[in-house]
Amino acid sequence: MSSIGRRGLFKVAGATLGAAAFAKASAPLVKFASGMSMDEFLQDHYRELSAKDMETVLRRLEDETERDYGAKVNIKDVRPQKGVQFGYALNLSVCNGCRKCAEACHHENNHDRETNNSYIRVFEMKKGSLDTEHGDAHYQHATPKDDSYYMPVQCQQCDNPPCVDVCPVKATWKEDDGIVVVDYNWCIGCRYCEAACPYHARRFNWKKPTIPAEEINPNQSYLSNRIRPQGVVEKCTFCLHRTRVGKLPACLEACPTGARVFGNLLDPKSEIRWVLKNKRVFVLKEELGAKPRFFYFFDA
Amino acid sequence: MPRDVANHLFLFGVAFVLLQGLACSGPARENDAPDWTPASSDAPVYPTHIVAPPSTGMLKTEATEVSGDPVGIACMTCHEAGAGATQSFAQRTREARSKDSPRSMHTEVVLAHGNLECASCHQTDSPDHLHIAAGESFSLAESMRLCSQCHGLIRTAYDNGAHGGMRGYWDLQRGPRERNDCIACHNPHSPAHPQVIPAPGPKDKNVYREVHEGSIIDQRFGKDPHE
Repeated sequence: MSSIGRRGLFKVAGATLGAAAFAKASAPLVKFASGMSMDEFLQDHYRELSAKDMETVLRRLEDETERDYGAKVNIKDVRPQKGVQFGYALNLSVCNGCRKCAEACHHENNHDRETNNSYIRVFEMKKGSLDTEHGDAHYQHATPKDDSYYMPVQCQQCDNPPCVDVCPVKATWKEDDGIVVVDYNWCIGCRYCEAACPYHARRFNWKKPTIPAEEINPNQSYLSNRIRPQGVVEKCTFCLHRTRVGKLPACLEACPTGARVFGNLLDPKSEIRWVLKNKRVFVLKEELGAKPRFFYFFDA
Repeated sequence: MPRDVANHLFLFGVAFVLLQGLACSGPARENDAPDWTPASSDAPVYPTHIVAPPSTGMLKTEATEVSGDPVGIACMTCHEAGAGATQSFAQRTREARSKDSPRSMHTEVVLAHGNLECASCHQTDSPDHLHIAAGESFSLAESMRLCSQCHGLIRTAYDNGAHGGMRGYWDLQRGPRERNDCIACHNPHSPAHPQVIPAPGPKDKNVYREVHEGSIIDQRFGKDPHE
């Protein structure tokens, strides 16, 4: 009873318990980080990556996609063009609610197949009302219904984006061509941005997306349609991997009615400028002051 | 004892600085994306192709191919006129009528376009040619001119890229564009669009609940008609 006193025994027992509790408490963290390489853990913010580091990151992401999904993909870092400010307009008079835009988005942006996720929600709205609270995004019947019109809603790429303001780690920001993007490797998944968005445009990856290898769109970019990890927020990027090389976004190409108009706001001859000049356009929830870049209009 | 701690802290500090140095390798990357500048001339660098459906000028008959598709015949198979024709159109149609009703020759055509008649748009002597009100005649390939004489505002919107589906490049300085012509989407004989079955909706967890329509909840949480 002399070598270890009562006090000593308590100390050892306490330390053992403490260590066990610490191990238990940190188990989810260890488990969470087990899928994360040291390179990923130490990766810099998108805007601070050097050319060499970016190259390493892109190749690592491609390798990870091949390992996890069995698909060979090409991930690029597509940058904004000077002299381009993107704008989008949508003609509510001709949209027929076919959801082809949402479907095209689902495939173009490598969304999770199980949730049928898409950056576009098409609301079925009663004629005579602009109240999105009463819009139904889950309709399952032939469209268009006589008493309804259809309002697709996606990220409005606001000039005063509340989602960017609330991000505690600056994982989301507005790029020089007006597109609001997310660094999926910097996002901590707090979902403040999702709550702050008045347009319900952001999505959270509750689980790792499942996509069959043969359905994966291999034309990917870091800031847009690469397959997002679990636990981060994602959003519409106006298909920047397409639009920054001059192509039309996937939702517009899929639209059979021609309701969608996309282009460069700085080009006075662009289609989008013609719409802004000649149609009575409006933005959703203008009173909130988020200054959307997405315009709606009715014919005549 | 405090000296040990101090030594450890010092070593940690050195290691941290070294790691930081390793992490920051190379200068910030440049944006080498080309600047957008207005086109120097009015003519865009790349063209816009306007595509018509391939079946333009073909009439579907009641006869079917082995595949089940209707047999298509060109207007001029029956309506041929002019020096090369052995029989006049009147003779040919009389012959056809004796065998079959004219309706069976034009099963595809359901005319429900205002008060228009066949001859409002088609040249009676050569129905693969159209004519506008001023009398000028042109081929079916130019059908958009005919549409535009009544639907001028739509044509204006179309010409400015605000009507009609398109694919390709928004920036015609970097690539071409493909556009639908009027009849790619609108049946000129009965232009009203039928309803369509939409693509499947979202299956997210926060399903919007319409409390006034309980049946919708059953529909959503029950069997998905798309599966």
